[in-house]
Amino acid sequence: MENKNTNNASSWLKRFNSLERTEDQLFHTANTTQSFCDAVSRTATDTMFEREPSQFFSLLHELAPESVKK
Amino acid sequence: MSTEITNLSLHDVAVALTNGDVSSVEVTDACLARMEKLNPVLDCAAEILTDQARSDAQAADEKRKNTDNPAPLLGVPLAHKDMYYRAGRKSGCGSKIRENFVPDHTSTALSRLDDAGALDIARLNMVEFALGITGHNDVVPTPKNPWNTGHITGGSSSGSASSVSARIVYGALGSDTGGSIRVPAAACGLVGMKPTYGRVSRYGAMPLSHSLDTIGPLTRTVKDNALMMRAIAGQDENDTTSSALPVPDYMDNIDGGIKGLKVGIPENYFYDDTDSNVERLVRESLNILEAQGAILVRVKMPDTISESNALCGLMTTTEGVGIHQDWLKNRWYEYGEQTRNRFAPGFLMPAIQYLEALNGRAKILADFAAAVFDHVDVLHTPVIPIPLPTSAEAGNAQSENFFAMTNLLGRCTRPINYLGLPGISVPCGFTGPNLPVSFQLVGRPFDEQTLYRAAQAYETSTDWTSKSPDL
Repeated sequence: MENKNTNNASSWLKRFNSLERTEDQLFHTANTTQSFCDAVSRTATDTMFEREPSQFFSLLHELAPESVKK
Repeated sequence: MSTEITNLSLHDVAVALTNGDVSSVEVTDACLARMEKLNPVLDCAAEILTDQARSDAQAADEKRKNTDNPAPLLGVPLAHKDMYYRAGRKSGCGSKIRENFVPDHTSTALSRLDDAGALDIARLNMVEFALGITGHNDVVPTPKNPWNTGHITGGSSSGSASSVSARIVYGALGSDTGGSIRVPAAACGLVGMKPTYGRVSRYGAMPLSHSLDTIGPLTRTVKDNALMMRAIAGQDENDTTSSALPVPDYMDNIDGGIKGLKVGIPENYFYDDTDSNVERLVRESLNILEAQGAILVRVKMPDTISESNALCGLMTTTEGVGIHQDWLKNRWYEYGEQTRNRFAPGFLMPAIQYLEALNGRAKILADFAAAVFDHVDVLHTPVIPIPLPTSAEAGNAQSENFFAMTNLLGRCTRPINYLGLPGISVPCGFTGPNLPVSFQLVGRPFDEQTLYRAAQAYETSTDWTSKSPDL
């Protein structure tokens, strides 16, 4: 039986990362990757123009209690 | 006498040393004797540094004689997860690949503990390259849980949890990327602090995920934990992600009580898949906090809390593969089976999805803060939502339930890493045959002090942390 998703993943790994993994070996790997990508698609809302990683670190400091900032 | 010494808390042994009731040589000999006796049973240490420890203990005793102002942890024996570099000493990172790696620099966390006078008496076993939540290791010995050696220690700071719980050393550094301090601390009946991202320098610590890695202590008591955090926290020019915010003295007002402190009880997510016995014990701890004056407030988690769990996994595997890619391509079979299979999804992750996970953090943190910290000071949750799995279950990656089990083990901790927030695990009872249970308190960024004060209020009202495993 051929699994189209893992077959693609197997080709991808071989071509771009030099890893030789069979469909069977990639079953859980492909499923895990899929679940991660699904989580991203559920949280992504606005465009990348409005967001960058440094906003996260700024917000961490903004949210710190005033007593810690003194 | 030897057991009496090792049963002391870190705080109390530091006081005993200050008062001259005991010498560092006596304390260190007691710890080394316990290590020699129990390491063959528990497999917690990769290397016991006996000669160095005795020499350092003698030096500490000499230093104490010659100063009126000794360092706060002078002569106290600690040991750390084998991923903290010390120049000229092996650091195996729980792996075969790095078993003979000798770094040329010392981690900031170890340097700061050295400055505080602590001794470093062993390299502690850990999950291979810190990637694994059960504690299982396919390539070097897997530490045992002192409370019940047939069950997991949790990971990845497995040797840290095992050795501190077994009263071998007074405290140990762990690292936490998705729960690797809080989960083993909870599994072994200890206090574990995962500080705010940026609170403790990661310089000289083996990286797994630059965006998520944090460093913190595992100890027997809350005060012990605060003492270690006081030593290691603070900005470091060698780690540009470390925060410039001042570090409070975590011992200040630690006994100040929690009258009026608002404690959030999550209405959704955190209890969704929690075992009923675990849930009962965790919820009972709320009664103790309320009796101490806390105000309990029900809080609805934002919808993104569930995705935060997955996004933590995405970032860990992707950034982890970024670090390990060359070895994974060329030395695949030198990794343990579980480790290489955990890294593998990172090779398939589209770059755009990784960037989405990274760029989405600010909005998801803002949503979480509005849902939680607009209403309460700390959030109260389980740490491990299920009874501790057996070691055999953790070693069998082929079993039908393995993925579900490992997912559940980190379900309550991974979102907190994605959000960058501080979280502390606090023991609150036992299920079944000596299987510890803990609750987690999550605080505002850089507010570890409130977490310590709340945890201390709970600890002093109960006797969980005074119990020790029968070894």
